[in-house]
Amino acid sequence: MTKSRSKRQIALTVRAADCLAEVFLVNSRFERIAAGVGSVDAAVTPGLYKARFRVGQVQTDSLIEVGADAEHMVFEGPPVQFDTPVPLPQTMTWRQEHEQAARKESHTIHCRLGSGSQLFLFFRGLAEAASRPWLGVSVHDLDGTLLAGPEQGICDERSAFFALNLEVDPGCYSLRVEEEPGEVYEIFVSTLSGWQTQVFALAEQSWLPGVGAFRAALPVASVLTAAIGTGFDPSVVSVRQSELLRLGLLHGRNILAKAGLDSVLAEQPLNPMTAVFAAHVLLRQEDAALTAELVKHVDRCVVAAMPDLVAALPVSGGLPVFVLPPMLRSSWQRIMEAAGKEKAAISPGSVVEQLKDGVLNTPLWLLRRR
Amino acid sequence: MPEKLMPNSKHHAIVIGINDYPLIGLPSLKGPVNDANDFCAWLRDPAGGNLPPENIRRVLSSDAPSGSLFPTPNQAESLFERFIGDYYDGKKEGERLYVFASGHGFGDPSDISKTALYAANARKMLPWHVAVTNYVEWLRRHAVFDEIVLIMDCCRTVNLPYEIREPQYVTCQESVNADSVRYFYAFAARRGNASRERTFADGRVSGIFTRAFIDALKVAAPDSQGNVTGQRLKDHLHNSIGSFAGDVTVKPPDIALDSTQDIIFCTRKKAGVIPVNVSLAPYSGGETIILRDGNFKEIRQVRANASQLTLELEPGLYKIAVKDTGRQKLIEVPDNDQITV
Repeated sequence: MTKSRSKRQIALTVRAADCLAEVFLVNSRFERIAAGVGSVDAAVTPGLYKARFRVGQVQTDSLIEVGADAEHMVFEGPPVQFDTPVPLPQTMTWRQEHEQAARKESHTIHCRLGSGSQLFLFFRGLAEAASRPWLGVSVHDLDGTLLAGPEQGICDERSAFFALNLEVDPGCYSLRVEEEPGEVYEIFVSTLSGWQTQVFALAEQSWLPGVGAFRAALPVASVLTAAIGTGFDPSVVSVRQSELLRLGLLHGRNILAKAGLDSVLAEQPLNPMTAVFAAHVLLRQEDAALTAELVKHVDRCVVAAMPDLVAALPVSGGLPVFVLPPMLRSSWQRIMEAAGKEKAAISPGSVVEQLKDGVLNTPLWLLRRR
Repeated sequence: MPEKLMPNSKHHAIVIGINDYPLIGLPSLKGPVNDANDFCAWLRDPAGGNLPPENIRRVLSSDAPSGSLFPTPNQAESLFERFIGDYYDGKKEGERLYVFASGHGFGDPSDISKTALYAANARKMLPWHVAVTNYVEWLRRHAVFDEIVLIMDCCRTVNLPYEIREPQYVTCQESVNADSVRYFYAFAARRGNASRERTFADGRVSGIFTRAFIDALKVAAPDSQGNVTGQRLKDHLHNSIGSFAGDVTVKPPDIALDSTQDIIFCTRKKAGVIPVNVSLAPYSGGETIILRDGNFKEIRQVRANASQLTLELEPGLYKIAVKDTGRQKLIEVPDNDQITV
C-alpha cells in the first residue's frame, strides 16, 4: 500500500516588525507550529494561520491566509505597541511632547559637576496624578553626597516631565527616589567616557504597598547610552534594540537568537547599554556561543568600566575585582556567587562590600533601600 | 438517557475565594467568591470534573459575616493539612488534586515560582497570606497525588518588602517520585503583573481569567483521541482570553505543564460551539454566506434572511464570504464574536 500524496507545502515566512520581537505561529486549531524571534519559517499546507508577535508582556495577533498558488509567502507583522518609559514612537506610552522635550533637553547641560561623561534623567507622567515626576528625586555620588535635585533640572508640570542633564566624571552614581518620608530607594548608574547615560522612568503609583503617591518607578526604569553630542534620538536603531532587550530581561524572555545578535552587532561601536542587556539576556539563555560572539565586539575599555559587563562576560586575565556596584540585579547575583567561590574579589571597604545589606530582590535593577 | 458516569472519587479539590481585605487598604473584590463557586460547579458537573461533593473542600470569605476577617491564613491552610498529615501517616490520597485560589495575591520578590493569596486579615505591616504555591509544590515533591492542577486568579505583583513565608510543615529529605507527578499550573498573570475582574453580560462580576478558563474547560477542542488535555486548554486559553477581557487590557496568562505527561481534564467528541453574530453591510436581501474552515474546506452555506445572523462555530480560524461579491473576512473564534462582512 502506498501513502496518499500529501497536500502541497508552502514555505511561509512570518517577520516581526522588530527583530527582537517574539513570533509564534499557530494553525487553525490553535496548535503552535512554529516559534522564533524576529521571524519564523514554516512549511505549511494552504489554509488559515495566526501569527502572534510579542514584546515583553504585550502581544499583537494577525490572521494569515496562505493560498495554494504561491511557492513562498512572506508575511510582515505589525509593530507591537509595548509600554516603555522611553518616549519611543510606535509604543503605547509615546507622547510627542515628551519625545521633543527629551530630544531637546538631552543636548543641554543643566549642571556641570565634572567632565568626560553625562548623566541625563528624563522622568515623565502619563496621568494627571503623575504630573510632577521629579518629586523625591536626587542624584548622589557613592559617598552619599548630594549632587543634584529637581531644582537643577527642568520641571514641567503642564507637560508632566522632568529633565536633568549632568556633566560628570565617568563613574558610578546613585539615583534616589524618596517614595514617602524616610523611605528612600536607590539604583546605581554607570557613566562612561564619551557617553551620555540616559535614565527614563514613568511616574507611577508607588510600588511600596499602601503608598498612594506617584513617584518615578525605579524598579522598571530604562537606561540607555548615547555618544555624547547625539542626545536622545529615538530613530537610532540601538535605542529600540536596547529597550527590547531590557523588556526581554525584565520579563524573562529568551529573545536573542543569532539573527538578533547580528543586528545588535551591526552598529559599531557597540552601544554600551545594548551590550549590557545583550550579555545578560544571553547569560539567562545560557548561550555560550553567542556570548563569545558578543565578547568579540565589545570594546575592552567599556567592559572594564562597566561592572555589569565584567560580571556577565567571560574575562581573561586575573581575578575580577569589584569596586563599583553594578546596575543590574543579575550582575549583583553573579558577583556574589563568584565571590563566594573565590572567582571574584570585592574590594574591602568599597560600596560593593557595604551593599550586602539592604539590597532588594527585583527582576531588573539592583535596588537598595537606604 | 445519557450515561451517568461514576464520580471521580479519587479526585479532590481545595477552593479558596476571598473578596474582602478590610485592614490592608486593598479594594474589595467582587469576583473571587463567584469564581470559586463557578469552579466548584464545574468540579461537581458530571460532564466536568465529576467530583463527589464531599471531595471538594472550600473556604470563601462569604462563609462568614462581612467584616469578620475571614479567612485567616490558618483557616485557609487547614484545607491542606489533611493531605500533608495523611502523607506522614503513609496514606496515598488520590489521583488528582485541584487547587483553585482567587483573591488579592502577590509574588515573592526573590523566588519567581512562589505566589500567595493575601488572607482576609492581612495588614500593611503584617501581610498575612496563604502560601498556595508552597503547599502545592510540597504536595508535588512528596507525590501525594499523581496529578496536581493549580489555578490562581490573583495578582502576582511584587511588593519588595513582602516575602512569602514557608508554611510550618516538615520537609522530608528522602527521594520521592515527584518527577512522575503530572502537573498543570495556571496563573492569571505572569510574575509582576495584575489579574483583572469585570462585570460580564450576565451581570455577574468574575475574574477574567477564571471565566476564560472555565469556558475553555467546556469548549476547548479535544485531541484526535477526544481528550481535552492541559496543552489543549493552554492553546485555547492563550487564544481566547482576549475575547473575555471586554474593554480591559489583559496580559498573557502564565501556564506551565509538562507536555510529555499531560493531564486529561475531560473527554468529548468535538469542541463546544460559540455563537458568532454576523452583520451584513450592505444587505440587499437574500445573500448567501459561505463559510470555510482553516483548511479552506467549505463547511456551511447559509442564506441570510436578515442583515444579521448567528453562526454556531467551534473555536478556530475561518473564512467567511458573501457569495458572488468580493466581500470576505478572516475570523477567529472566539475572539471575533461580532463581525461585519
